[in-house]
Amino acid sequence: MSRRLAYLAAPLAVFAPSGYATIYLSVEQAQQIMFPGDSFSSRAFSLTGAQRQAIEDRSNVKVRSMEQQVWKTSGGGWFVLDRVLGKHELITYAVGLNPDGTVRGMEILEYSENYGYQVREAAWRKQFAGKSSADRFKLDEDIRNISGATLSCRHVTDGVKRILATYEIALRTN
Amino acid sequence: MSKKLIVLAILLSSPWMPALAGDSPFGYVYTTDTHSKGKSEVEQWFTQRRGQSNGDYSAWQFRTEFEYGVTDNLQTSLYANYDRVSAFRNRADGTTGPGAFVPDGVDPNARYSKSFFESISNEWIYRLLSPYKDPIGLALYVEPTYGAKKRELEGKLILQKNFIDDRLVWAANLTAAIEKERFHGEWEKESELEFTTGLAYQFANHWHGGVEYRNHRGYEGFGFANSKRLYSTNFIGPSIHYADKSWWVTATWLRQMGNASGYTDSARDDIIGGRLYGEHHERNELRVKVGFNF
Repeated sequence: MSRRLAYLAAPLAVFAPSGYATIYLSVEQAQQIMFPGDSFSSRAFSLTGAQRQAIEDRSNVKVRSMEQQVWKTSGGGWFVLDRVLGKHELITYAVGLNPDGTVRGMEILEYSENYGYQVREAAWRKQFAGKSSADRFKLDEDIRNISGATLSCRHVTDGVKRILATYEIALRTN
Repeated sequence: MSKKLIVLAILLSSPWMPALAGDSPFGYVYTTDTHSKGKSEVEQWFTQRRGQSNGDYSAWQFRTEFEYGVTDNLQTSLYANYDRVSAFRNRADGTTGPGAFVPDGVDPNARYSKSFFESISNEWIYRLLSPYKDPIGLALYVEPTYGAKKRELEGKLILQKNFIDDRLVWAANLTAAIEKERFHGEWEKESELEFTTGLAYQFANHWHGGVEYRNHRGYEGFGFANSKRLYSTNFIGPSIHYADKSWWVTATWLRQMGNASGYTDSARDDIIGGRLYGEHHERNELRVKVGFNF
């Protein structure tokens, strides 16, 4: 028995769960990057069941949370904070929307895994600028995929698409 | 031999081993995930096969594997297979061996224990469709194995479909293999068909829990004609998977279900209480895999 345990114990001995999280930007920093000089007023709200259904129907993306972390900017734009699942951990990101509902920018605030991190690259994030809810948001079509980061690319892309649907259903008239 | 194995395991688990990407929530079922170009991974497998029709039987199978992404969709790996067996009166007639890693000529009334090197394998996986971009993931797998007492060529069709934001993973493999094993002083030809499938759910960050099923069929000679069938048996059991930033571990326990079928007198003799024993079939299998990616 001791020999069997030795076989298992050798690699397991060095394993120790690590509680890490890499924060790249605070909410305030992301706000100032996307809307420099603007002021922000919180418009956090909860989706109704009907709104949730409408958003899912429009975007074909599941709504993860009924609670929406949203700020209106002094210039008439919107700042939306959201989370999507990476491979094992949540990715925290924010989308800035122009007053006309098109994407102004997208920033990754927190990313905790050491694969798929390429979604932080500026060249990849830049693809979202100018997109609206009318766009397809399909990997390898209107959004370039990154090899080795496909899952993160798809989940972030789906997240932006869902946020644009949320704008159409719940923010546009505010 | 055992000291060398322990040293090897320690070396493979040293902290300088960098971090990962290609982890799987399953112990037996392959998914369509491949390493992206230039990425590598080292895996260590431990499989314990325990319990035959009588007495005491335990076999440990070890695999030390190096995987490499040739392109974003093509992955190769090279691995060494080495085993340890301990058997005492394990056969249906109450004697020790032969069969199931126990050679001819051992004392039928004594315990037989031995560690030995089995073979080298070279695995290739080509992903045709990705479950993250396409309606279903699809990959092809081929693997030749070469050893002093074993030669094998194995092919797999791998399917994967993800649900609920990729939290729920379903995968299935259809495997066909032809092999020659040196046994009773001669090369015996055998073919095998295997169907495996599994479902795993990410129930918390880093953690997957699931279930796996395996059907294993043996055929006499090379080929899969019904007239050459030897046996068919089924396994089922739970799996648990944890992945961290720099490593992952998966453990699966499979239990033979007790509804085995034998198609020859010899195969029927090896079925006791509905379970198939004899060569390479036991009541329980526990597999633990660890991976380090860089």
